[in-house]
Amino acid sequence: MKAFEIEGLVKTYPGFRLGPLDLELEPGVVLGYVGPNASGKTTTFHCLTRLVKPDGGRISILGRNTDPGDPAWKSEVGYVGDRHVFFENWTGEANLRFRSGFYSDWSHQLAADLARRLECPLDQKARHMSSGNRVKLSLIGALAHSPRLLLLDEPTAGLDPVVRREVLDALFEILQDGQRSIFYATHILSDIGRLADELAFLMNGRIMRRSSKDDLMDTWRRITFRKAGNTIDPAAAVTHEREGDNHRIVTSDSKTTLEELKALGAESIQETRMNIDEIAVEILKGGRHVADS
Amino acid sequence: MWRILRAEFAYSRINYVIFLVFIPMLLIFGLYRPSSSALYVAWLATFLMINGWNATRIKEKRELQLAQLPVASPEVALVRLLMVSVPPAFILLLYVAVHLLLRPSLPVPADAGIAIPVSNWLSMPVRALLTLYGLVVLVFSLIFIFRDTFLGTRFLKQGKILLVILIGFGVAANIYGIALARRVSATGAQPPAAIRALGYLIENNPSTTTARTLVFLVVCLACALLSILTFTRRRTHLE
Repeated sequence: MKAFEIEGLVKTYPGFRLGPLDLELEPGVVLGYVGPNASGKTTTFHCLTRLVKPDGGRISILGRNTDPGDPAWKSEVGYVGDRHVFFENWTGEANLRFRSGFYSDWSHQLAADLARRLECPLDQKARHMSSGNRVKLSLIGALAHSPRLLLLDEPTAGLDPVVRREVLDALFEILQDGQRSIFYATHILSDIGRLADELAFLMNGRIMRRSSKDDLMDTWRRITFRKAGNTIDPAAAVTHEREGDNHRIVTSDSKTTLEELKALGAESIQETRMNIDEIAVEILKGGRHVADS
Repeated sequence: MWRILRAEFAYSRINYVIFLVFIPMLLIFGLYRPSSSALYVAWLATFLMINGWNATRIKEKRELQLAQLPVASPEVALVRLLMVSVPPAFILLLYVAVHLLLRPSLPVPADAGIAIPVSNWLSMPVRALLTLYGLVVLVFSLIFIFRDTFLGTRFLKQGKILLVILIGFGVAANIYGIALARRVSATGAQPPAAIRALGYLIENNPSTTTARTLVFLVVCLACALLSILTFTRRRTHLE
């Protein structure tokens, strides 16, 4: 059974349209959802969790339709978005206690462990908590019932880099057990790069590409070479810059490109591995172009 | 559903403790002073308390919080409705109980305001109380329906402006009403037709006959049920 399945999802706001979007997540897979601001990541999450009503399409989570009248599907989902909402005059502990009543699998022990590991002050009232601690409280609330599907929509947005790193380090340590499917949206790939099995790239409401992280790391290369003339245009090149006879390309299929370059008689061919951030930037920049300089 | 309801009451428990102390005092005071003003103060206090609860709920984005939990949306809508209906129901029941226990033969207050003419049904202005009860439920149901329908649209922002205009209009109407009442009582002149029509509506308000009260309550109930439907069909729970 798939963790979730989205078919033909459409949501329109003035000046923005998400979809039609097709996306699915296999059990146990960590899918990074990468895209710039306003690309539609949060809208996807809002539709997925039924916080907003989609204009069209079908969504199922763990085999169940996301019907707001039948909330059973929410029992096995943990969601942390960019808004952390609580009973503000209650302590973190009281907020978790309230939440615990809705989940049969809630573990008070796990909640306490998570609070300790994340260093979240549960005795503080929510309204007195810092942004970082509010994020931590949301994460504890989303994890303490051991959900089979975890939906994380830029949970660390708005935090300063030090707290963000601290939260992410603790979170990834917790999530590395591989026991749940995770759908994690971010525009900072380094946030999820080390945990993700697969990456989906979203741009202007459409998925541009979905690949396994290993495939991307294996096939994408930056290649430099020397070749006289204007006629070189490798099929898999995503970008191509030229300074005289010196060429610099980024390719999404290094094997094919290298074979092509060798066949064309290119000289001084050198390939460099790219990190996942660089690959993401190239994908989101929007594909194939040749810039002369 | 009961968990949410319990949490909501527990969260606002200071308000409810004040309510539980203050309202019976007002009602008993009202019983020993044959005037309905204490009763209306009690209703006003209830209305303001519910309004305060609703404002906190909106400020803290309670609907977004609850929408993330495994609770069916009709249940959340029902909780919302119960939070609005229970405090006035408490007043209604308390008033009836206190009245029956302490002063069953109390004459109907002459200045019962909205209850004029009050029936002798149970020797107390039960119809007036039911009308006020319906009014509270109706007002909040309409607020809920308005929010549910226009949430996530530009109209809601315009709706807020409309609300400010309405409040301004209400204040102006009150000032005009006071000035008019003074002039009418001083000169004995007939008030304008629109005011006379308003007076007719007040004199023939739903509490005047049992049939009217029941029809009014049915309308209130229909609006309350409609607010459950509009909640389940909301475009968004984000605001």
